[in-house]
Amino acid sequence: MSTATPEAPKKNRTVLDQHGQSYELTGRIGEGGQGIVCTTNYPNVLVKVSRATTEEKRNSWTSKIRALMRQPLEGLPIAHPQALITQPQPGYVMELMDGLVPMTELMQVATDALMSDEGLSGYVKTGGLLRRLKLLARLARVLAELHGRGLAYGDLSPANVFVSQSLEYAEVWLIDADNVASQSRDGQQGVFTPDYGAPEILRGESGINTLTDSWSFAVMAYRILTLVHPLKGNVVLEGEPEREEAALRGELPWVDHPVDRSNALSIGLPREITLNAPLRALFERCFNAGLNNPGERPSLNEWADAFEAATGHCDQCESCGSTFFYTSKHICPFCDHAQDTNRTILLQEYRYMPPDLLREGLPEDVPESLIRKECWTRTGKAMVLSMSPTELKTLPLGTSLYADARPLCTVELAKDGLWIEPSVGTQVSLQRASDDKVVAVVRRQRLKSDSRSGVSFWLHLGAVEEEHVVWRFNW
Amino acid sequence: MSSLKKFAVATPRPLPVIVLADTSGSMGENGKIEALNAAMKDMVSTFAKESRLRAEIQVGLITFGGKAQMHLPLVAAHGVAGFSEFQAGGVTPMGAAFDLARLLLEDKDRIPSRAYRPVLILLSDGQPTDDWEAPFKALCDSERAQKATRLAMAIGPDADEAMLKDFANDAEAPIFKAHNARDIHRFFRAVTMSVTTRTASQNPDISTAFVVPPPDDDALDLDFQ
Repeated sequence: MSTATPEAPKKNRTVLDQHGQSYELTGRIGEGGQGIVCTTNYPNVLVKVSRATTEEKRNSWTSKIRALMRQPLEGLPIAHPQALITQPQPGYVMELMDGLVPMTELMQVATDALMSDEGLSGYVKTGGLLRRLKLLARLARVLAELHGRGLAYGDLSPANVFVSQSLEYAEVWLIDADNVASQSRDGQQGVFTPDYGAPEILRGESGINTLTDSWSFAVMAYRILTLVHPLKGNVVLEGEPEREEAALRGELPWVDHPVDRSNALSIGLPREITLNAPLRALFERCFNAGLNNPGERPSLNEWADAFEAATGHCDQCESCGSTFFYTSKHICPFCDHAQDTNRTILLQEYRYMPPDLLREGLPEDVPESLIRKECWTRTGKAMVLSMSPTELKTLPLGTSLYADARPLCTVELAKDGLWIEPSVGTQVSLQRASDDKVVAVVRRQRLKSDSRSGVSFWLHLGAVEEEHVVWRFNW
Repeated sequence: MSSLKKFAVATPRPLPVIVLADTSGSMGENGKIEALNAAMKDMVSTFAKESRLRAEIQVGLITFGGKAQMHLPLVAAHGVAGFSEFQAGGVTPMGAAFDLARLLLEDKDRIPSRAYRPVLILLSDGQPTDDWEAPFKALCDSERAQKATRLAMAIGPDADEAMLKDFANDAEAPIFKAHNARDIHRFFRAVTMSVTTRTASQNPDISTAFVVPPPDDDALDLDFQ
């Protein structure tokens, strides 16, 4: 036994990149089987050091990172290698904006509060339902874009997704891009995080691809919204770890299976209040049909559309501050507070085709009444307007091109009425259903609060003689 | 403000980590007990910071020095406010410690059947001084100990390596031999890592075997100032 010497205080370690630039490692922000992610003496610059212990492993890791540096990741919020670390261990340098926390924290804070008898305070404190929907919409859109570039992310889990710490923002960054891979690569890479890996990866039948990303995304989304795992029903939670393994390999039905209730779950936030109907339908497709048939799973584009649309369907409780899905009952499902019904209005989208255009090419004998009816097509898109100004665009929220769509008008529900402000170059008019009276809106104008009587209105966004978007609401 | 509703969520599955530590008189030499105390503190505080969404890491410490005792009953790591340091002294009643460990493992109230497979760690720098063979066999043959991940560390040249080898059951990880106080720390860093990575990203292609990094390769052994 050698004599132990008291250890001298150590200095922070310094690493060198391929260009000779040095970085002092100042703290550890993440640690996994593959390496350690450290903060450095430069703001927003992180270094990941590999854990590879043999020359062979180091070389293979380095060549993987070199390959990753050639992947088209520009413009995506994915922290990816900017330079290789060469000394003393292989690694790479990446940039990550500050003010972010891992998504696991949202889940832990919300779960801890429920377990320590503080109820939903943790859920609300981490942004409640609406912010969760916004974060998931953003994450799905980023992944959809990545998939569109022919790449799969690989090891998606809430520990790899960083989100704004401040509740005012819903920024999303992915870290640990090491496993990003071209979809065409045959399934060699079976990396996963327990609870989030797709069943076919756990069974050793597949490597990562866009369909396994879709699975991991859905599990994350379900957990963040409901605080429970889609495959861990009562029999799994109460059973031995072997049963959990079987469930994660896809051998048991999912907890909300419509018919097979053998793995049903009696806890977690009720799905009726945390998921709207389109989201429930997507989860059902992913976890039921998609459980062992990856091709059945919704694409990330579908998820992004559904989550973006869902962000337009929320109301905020005047009493507890929770955000919740609008219903005609106007009751907050998180505290049962009855909301002032005048706080919100529901807008429903239609496409209007002028009768003259519609009649073109049709036989003479098509009755006028049918034409008048067919002018209107309900798109199924809706928006809940509450106390903040909202832009109405050529495309509704929940379509991939919404962000770039042209705004047509801004609507704002205020105490003194509903304000309508046309965008430059858009003809806006308001039609009252009761008498078909049409008024042109040429500047910021309002429907007064005291005129509110539940009458239907049609807000036309475009020239009356052309096909255009119409939003219907009651005032 | 109306009161927010309450909902139940799943309690995480326990992941028991049980350390059987030699605290006999010889551990007081060459800074061994100090290194062990520091390593325990580090390990427990790292466990405490781990996510509890999937598993709740629980720690139990059994010491054998003079007499065998439960130094820290099996508790959730994140709830451990602190524990008294090990004091080296007395003989090496390892057999009695094996009995304690077996009783704890078999206690379905303290380790429910839904718990993840336990991790058992045995470390010693000497020969047992009591009748240890029967308790050792009983422990190793118990159903739960067979399922457990069992790791062993031989500290210095006087340790009973043959017995420690029999205890360890990870084919990829033969017993670890510590030659100095720093090695004790390195061993527990590896133990900590192997426990925490159970819930972190995994790659079936890369063996996640228990690996203590070579001593000259401490690039990953970061202590931040």
